Amino acid sequence: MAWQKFTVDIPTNLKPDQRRELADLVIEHIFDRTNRGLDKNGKRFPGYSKEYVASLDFKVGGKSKSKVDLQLSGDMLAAMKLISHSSGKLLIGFDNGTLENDKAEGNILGTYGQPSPIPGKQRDFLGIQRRKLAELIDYVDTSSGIDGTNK
Amino acid sequence: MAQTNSKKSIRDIFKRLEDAIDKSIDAKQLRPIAKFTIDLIVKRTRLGYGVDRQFGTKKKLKPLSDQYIEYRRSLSGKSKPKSKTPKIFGARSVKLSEFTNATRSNLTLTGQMLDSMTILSERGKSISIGPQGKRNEGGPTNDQIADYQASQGRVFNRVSLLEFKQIVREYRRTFGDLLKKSKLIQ
Repeated sequence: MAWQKFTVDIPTNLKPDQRRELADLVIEHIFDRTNRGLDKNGKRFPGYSKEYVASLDFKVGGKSKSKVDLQLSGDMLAAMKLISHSSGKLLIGFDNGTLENDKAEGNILGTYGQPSPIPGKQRDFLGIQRRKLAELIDYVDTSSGIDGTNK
Repeated sequence: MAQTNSKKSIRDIFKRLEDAIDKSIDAKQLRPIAKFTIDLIVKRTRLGYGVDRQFGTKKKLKPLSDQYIEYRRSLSGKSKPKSKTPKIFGARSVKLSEFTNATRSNLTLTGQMLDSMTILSERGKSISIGPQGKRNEGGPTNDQIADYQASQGRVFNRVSLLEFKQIVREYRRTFGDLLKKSKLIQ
């Protein structure tokens, strides 16, 4: 399984605490957007398979056919994190080699534990649109920082 | 008085939550967070996983014995047990919960124990959660069943580290900084 992560290019003038705040906002945006059933390009996730809808996990998870949100236990999205940051860059994703990383890969590639992707079942959530990123950068760059701390 | 396995104070969860958000939690906010925590624990257990220690890693619950699976199959009416049912398994007249099947190890037979999970007591920032009450068929109470399961290595009334992160997110979005930033992160 490959390591699931992506690099976010950011202005080099952002200080470390601003980079952490920005990463937090990017991650929370990804969670919010995924929770609303949208992939990294703002498109609706493909629907669940008939087999999954009929499964015990689907019932136990209290899931609905009309809400594809990549959450059963919720652990995968909870595991998404800022892996590292440096001037001009954030690296966001999952700890390599973890079950959550593998789940993410299954969703991103549409493989779900199979050797090949299942056609039409890719659910790539790991990324952010440029316009949204610019909005978050602007907020961090112009706000007074986390908890009102002055720059 | 020592905590039993069934009852669990989630004071340590609230303390760690306060550390994570770097501010004190209002007592009024504890109840919804406690209920969110209960829902997480119940769902995870029904999916077939337990957590041995607070903030640990979830692990698949110990598999069911062949004899117990046979008993569970007989409850769904799909087969008759080949051997005499041990008394410890329970009555022959109970109905298998919709949230399980004959072979899944998820601490669910009729569903009463996990359905009974609730806030047991509240005092300041100390809240205890756990199963409670009697069962429809009589016999051991729900917390006694939970204690028995724990003695067999099936501990469920704890929160994993990733579940804790879900609790932090829920707090932040409901009461904390993300509530104010909700439009920003959409």
